[in-house]
Amino acid sequence: MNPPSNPPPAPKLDPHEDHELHDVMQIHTAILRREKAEPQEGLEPMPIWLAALFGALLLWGGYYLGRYNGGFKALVFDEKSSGLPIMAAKPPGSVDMVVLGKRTYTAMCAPCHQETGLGLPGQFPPLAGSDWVNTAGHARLVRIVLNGLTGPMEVNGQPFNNSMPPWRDSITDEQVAAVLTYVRQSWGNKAPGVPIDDVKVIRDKTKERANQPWTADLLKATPESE
Amino acid sequence: MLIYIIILAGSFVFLTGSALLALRWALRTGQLRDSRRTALLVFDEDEPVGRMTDYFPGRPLPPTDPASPSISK
Amino acid sequence: MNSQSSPSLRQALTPSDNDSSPERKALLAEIDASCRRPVLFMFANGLLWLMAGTALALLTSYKMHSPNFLADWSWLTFGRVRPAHLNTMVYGFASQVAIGVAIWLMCRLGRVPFMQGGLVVGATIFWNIGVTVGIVGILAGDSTSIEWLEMPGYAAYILFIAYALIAIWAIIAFRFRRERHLYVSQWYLLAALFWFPWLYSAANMMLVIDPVRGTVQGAVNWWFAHNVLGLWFTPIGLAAIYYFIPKVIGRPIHSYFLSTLGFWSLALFYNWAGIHHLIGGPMPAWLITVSVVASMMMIIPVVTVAINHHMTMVGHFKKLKYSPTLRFIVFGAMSYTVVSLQGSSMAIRSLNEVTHFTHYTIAHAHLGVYAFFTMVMFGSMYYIVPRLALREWPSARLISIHFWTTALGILLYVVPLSVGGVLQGLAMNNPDIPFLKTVELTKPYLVTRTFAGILMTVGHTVFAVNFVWILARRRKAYQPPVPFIAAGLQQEAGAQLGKDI
Repeated sequence: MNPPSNPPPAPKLDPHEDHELHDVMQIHTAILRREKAEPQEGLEPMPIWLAALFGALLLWGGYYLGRYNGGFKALVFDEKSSGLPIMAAKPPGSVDMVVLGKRTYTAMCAPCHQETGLGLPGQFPPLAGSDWVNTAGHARLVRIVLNGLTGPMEVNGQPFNNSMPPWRDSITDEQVAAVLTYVRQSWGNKAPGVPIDDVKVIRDKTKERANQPWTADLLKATPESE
Repeated sequence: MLIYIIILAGSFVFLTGSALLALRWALRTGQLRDSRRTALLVFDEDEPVGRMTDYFPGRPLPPTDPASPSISK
Repeated sequence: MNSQSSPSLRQALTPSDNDSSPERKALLAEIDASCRRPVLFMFANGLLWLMAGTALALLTSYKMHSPNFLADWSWLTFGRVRPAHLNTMVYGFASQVAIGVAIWLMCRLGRVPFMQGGLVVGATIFWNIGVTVGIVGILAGDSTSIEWLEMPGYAAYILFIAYALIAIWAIIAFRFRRERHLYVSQWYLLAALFWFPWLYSAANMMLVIDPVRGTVQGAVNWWFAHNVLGLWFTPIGLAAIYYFIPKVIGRPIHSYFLSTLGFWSLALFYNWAGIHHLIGGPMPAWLITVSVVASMMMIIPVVTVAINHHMTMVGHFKKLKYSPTLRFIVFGAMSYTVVSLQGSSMAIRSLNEVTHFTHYTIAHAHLGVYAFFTMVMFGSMYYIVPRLALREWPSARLISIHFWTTALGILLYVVPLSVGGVLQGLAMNNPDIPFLKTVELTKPYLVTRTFAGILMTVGHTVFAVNFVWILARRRKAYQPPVPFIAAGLQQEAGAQLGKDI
C-alpha cells in the first residue's frame, strides 16, 4: 500500500461511454436538459408497452381466478366446476350397481366361484351360464346369499356337495342386490337385475332362519316368486 | 389443526406487515426518490462510471480501455 | 490524488461525499480484509461440496440409463444418490456460496467492514457439519423422502442454527452501514436473508418435525421447493447481477425505477406460486388456480429485470471478451429471463399436463439453479476472490475452459432433455403406448445428459484447481495487487496486474 511514486495519469474515459455523463459541465447541462425528459441512465421511465403488458396480465389474472376458482371450496378439485351444485348433484347412495357388485363379488365370492364365474369342477358350482342364476325370479338367489347353502345339489347336470356360508350379517341389502345384479349380468348371463327393496323384503321374511343354511330341496320347495 | 391456522395467519400478518413497514420506511427516508443517485451507488471515485473493473489476468486488454496507459509504468 | 483531474460523477452529484481522504481509501481495503476469512472459507467449503455434488450428479445421471451400475450397495442406490446430489448442491454449495457473496455485497454496498468474521467462520463450520450429517443421513437411508428437504430432522436443526448465526452478522452489517441510501441489491439481499429462515423453518416444522396430514403435505412441500428457488436463490442471484453488470462494465443500470418495481413485484407474487406442481392432484382447485395466476404474474418482475439487465448491456457486449465475471454473469442473466418465462408457461394447465412428471421439469430446474444461479455465483467468485486473496487468478486459460465447458455443458444438458421431456410427456398421455416404451424413448436424451455432466465436471475441476492455486500461491514479491486493497492508491493496477502476470 505504498503510495505510488508518480501519480498515475488521469484516466481517460472509455469511448463506449461517450454518450454518458463524465464531467461536471455535462452534469449541469444535463440537469437543465432534464426538463425535456431526455432519457438518462438510472432514470429510464417505464415504457408504455410495458405498462400495457402488465395491465393485460392483471386482467388475465383476474379473469382466470374468477373462472377457475371452484367456488373457493375445499372439496372442489375440478377447476371447471363452479363448486356450487357439486354436493347436490350426486347424493351419496346412488352408486353404480355393477361397480359395487363387482367389488363385492371380488371380495366375497371370487375365492370359491372364481373371478371368471366358472367355479371349480366338483367343488364349487359355476355361476356363468348356471341354471340356478339365469332364472326369471331372483328370490331363491337372494335366499342363498343371505343364508348360505349346504348339502348335495345339481347345477347344469353336474353334482356338487359342499357348503356356502351365510352372508346375512356381513353385507348390506344394497351389496346383496349389487352382487346378484352383477352375477346375473356378467359372463354371458342375461337375467334381470335385483332391486334393493326385494332383498329387504326377503331378509325380513327369512329372519327366523337366522344363520342356518338352506338345502337345495328346501329351496326348490319355495316358490320362485317369493 | 388450530395451532397451524394460528401460525399461518400469524405469519401472514407478520410478513405482510413487515413488507408494508419496509415500504413505508423506504418512502419516508426517500429511498425510492433519488433514482439517479441510487443507480450510481456501485461506483466511487476510484472506480468511476466508464471504467471496467474486471479482466482476464494476463490477456491483452481492450485497446480503448482507460486502464491501458498505465501499463507502460 | 487525481480527483481534481477526474471528478467522478458521484462526487459531482454529492459534494458531501467528496472526500478522497486516506481513511476513505482505506475503507475498501478494510472491508475486503474483514470479509477475507469468512467469505473465502465459505467459498472453499462450497467448492468442496460442488465437487462432491458433481460426483453424485454424474453417478445419478449414469444410473438413469444404466440402472444396474453400483446398484448392489444400498448406500449408492438411485433413491439415495439423487437426493444426496440435490442436497449437496443446494445446501452445501449453492446456499453457502450465496451467503458468502451476500456478505461481501452487503459490506461493499453499505461501505462497512464485516464484524465478527471469526464467529462467522465458526458458524460456517457448524453449517458444514450440518450438511455432512444430513448427506450421510440420506446415504445411510435416513432420508425424509420429502423433495428438497430430504435431510433428516436432526440435520435441519443444525443447519437452521448455523444459518441464524451467520445471517445475523450480515444483517448487523446492514444495520450499521455507512452509506444510508440503499442500492437495489441490498433490498434483494436483505429480503432473502429473512425469507430463507422463514421458508426453511416453516417447511421443516410442517413436514419433518410435526408433520401435517394428507395432501396438505404436498402443498407445503411444493410451496417450499418452489419458493426456496424464488425467494432465496433468485434474489441473491439478482442482487449479484444488479451489482456486477454495472460495476464491471462501468455503466449505471438502465432504469433504477424498474429495478424497484421488479423487487416489489417479486416480493408480492412469488410466494403464491408452487402449488401448480400439483395440477391434477387432489388439491382444492382454487389453490392451484391462485398458483397458476401468481406464476403468470411473475412475468412482471421478470420482464422488468430482463429489460434492466439486457438494456444495461446493450452497446457493451464487446466487453464480454475481456471480463470473466461479465461472461458468467451475463450468461446467468440471460438464463434467468429464459428460465423464468419458461417457468410461467409451465404453470399453464394445458402445458403442465404434458411437461410435468417428465424430464422437461428436470431440465427446467437445472436451467434455473445452474444456468442462472450457479453461473452468477461463479461470476461473482471470479470478481470477489482476487480482491480478498490479494492475488490475481493464476490462469486465464483455466477460466476460459471453465466458462466454455459449463456454458456448453448446461446447454447440452437442458436443450436435449427438454425435447426428450416433451416427447416423453406426449407419449405418457397416450394410453395406447405402454409405460415401458415411454421410458425407453427417453434413453438417448439421458445418455446425452451424462455427456453434458462430464463436460460440467471438467469445468468444476478446472475451477477448483484455479481456486486452490490462487489461495496457495505466494504473494508476488513486487508491489502486491494494490488496487484490490485500496483501489484509490493505485488506480490502474487491475490492468497492471494483467500485464505483470
